[in-house]
Amino acid sequence: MSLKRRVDALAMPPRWIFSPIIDNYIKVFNSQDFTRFYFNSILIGLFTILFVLIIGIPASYTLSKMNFRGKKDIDFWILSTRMAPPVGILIPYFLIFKNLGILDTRASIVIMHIALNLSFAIWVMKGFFAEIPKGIEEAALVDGCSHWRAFIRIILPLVAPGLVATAIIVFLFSWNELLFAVTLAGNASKTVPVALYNFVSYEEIDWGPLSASAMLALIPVLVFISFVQKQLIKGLTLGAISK
Amino acid sequence: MAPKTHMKKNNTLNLENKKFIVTSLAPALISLILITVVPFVINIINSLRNYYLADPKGPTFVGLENFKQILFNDANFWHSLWITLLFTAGCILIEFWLGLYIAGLLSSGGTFRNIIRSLLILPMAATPVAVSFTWKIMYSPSLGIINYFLKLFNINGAAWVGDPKIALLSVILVDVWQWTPFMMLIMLAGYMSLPTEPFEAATVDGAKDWHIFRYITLPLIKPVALTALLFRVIDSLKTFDIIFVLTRGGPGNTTETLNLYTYLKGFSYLRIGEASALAIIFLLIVIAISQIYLKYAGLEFGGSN
Repeated sequence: MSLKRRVDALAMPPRWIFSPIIDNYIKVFNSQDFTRFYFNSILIGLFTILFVLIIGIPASYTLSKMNFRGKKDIDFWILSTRMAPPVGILIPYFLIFKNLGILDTRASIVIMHIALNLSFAIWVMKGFFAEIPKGIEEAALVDGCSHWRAFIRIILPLVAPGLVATAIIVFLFSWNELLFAVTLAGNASKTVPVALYNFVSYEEIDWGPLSASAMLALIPVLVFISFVQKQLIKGLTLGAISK
Repeated sequence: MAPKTHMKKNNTLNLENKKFIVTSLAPALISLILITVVPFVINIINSLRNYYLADPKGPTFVGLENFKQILFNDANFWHSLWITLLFTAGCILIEFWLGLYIAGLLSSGGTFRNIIRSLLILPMAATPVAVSFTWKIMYSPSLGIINYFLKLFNINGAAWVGDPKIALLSVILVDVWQWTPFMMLIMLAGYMSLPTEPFEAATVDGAKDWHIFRYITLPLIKPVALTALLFRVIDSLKTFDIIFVLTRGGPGNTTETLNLYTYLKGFSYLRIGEASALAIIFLLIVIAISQIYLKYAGLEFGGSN
């Protein structure tokens, strides 16, 4: 559809053989706005990854490897956040952001995407940390490293592939997210899904460019899937269940 | 002398450990409080108020009025609850059996398994707006590919998402397309971890395929399947994107789930008080359904196997 001319796109029966054109893509790219939405989405995704990992990595390591009182309660709490309907988080934060005057900023969307992803990311990363043999960190500690040093120098490099996979899943969730973005974003902070949604809800739909932008929205998804599919499957399915 | 120094070392290690545990958990726990406790408290406060966002006079305290209104006077609420349950039941039933069936097929045939498995992540990872939009084109009565194919077989197509009678079913189909792979991948992992002995024994005893499935496969795969089901149940109760893009709750309110109803109440009608009350009721319903499910399924939430 995204490669069809307007006449071909609207023809019935559908024309399977048509002269492909890339005009639709050029049109989408030439519209200044779409590149800006793309940039917004990427920026929001990267900042979400950054904060989710900084906050989540140490916690998931401790929950996976250390024994202490109250650990089970924290585990349960993290899992049960999944039950909370996002709309119940959205309403209060919408009001808070409104009072702070930061509606329609990328920062407000980043904060909400962190909220959406944090407990899931902690849960997935716990699974990756659990695979490290116990002896390694003890050896490091006996050598007189401080715990934080041992963690950063020795443990983190070992789980790097798992962390990359987690980062990608977080990015995809942020990239795909509609509910928070469509409510908080105005013209300045609009993300790709919001732009797509606005396309669809217009009265007269120009199918060609719309399909082209939908394809463009899927490009990062396809790239990531082809790179890290194995860990991605693990993170999206078994990681989501229990470890 | 030796044991004493050893103990001293242990003590400093313990203190070190405690410091590490606290400092590593603190940022995450503070964030989780901000994500869960704070919004919940704000919701409770607002649910007790008459809070119309466009009203310049601001909110006034009304006690439990919003809850009374919703539970006893609001047909739309009960309607949306019913739609939510229908939607969830429809999605879960189809996705479960379809996922189980395809996983069974894939677990025996090895050649294409890996290719199919990587293809199957696409529906889960693809942007739901883009997916819903593609389905919207396919469903379209005039442009859509679905009606075109039906016509080739002399079947008159339908308006799909535009027809109040089948709009919900059309939305369910998209959810099935998107999430059956999730069920399938988990069950496939379950199948591949099954021991082979019971199956060999059953085959030797001459058991029928159906009986092997019913009395050996199903019980063995049950724990994995039940956990996967729980997550799908919770997630489909909260489905937003595909319904919002495909129908926005319409036509009429035939596809308006509780999630959508709460959203529209808050952000289309700006009735923050009622929307907050709805959000609380919604949360309680999700918790209740999960608890009933857990009890019935005999699972322990958060327990590791």
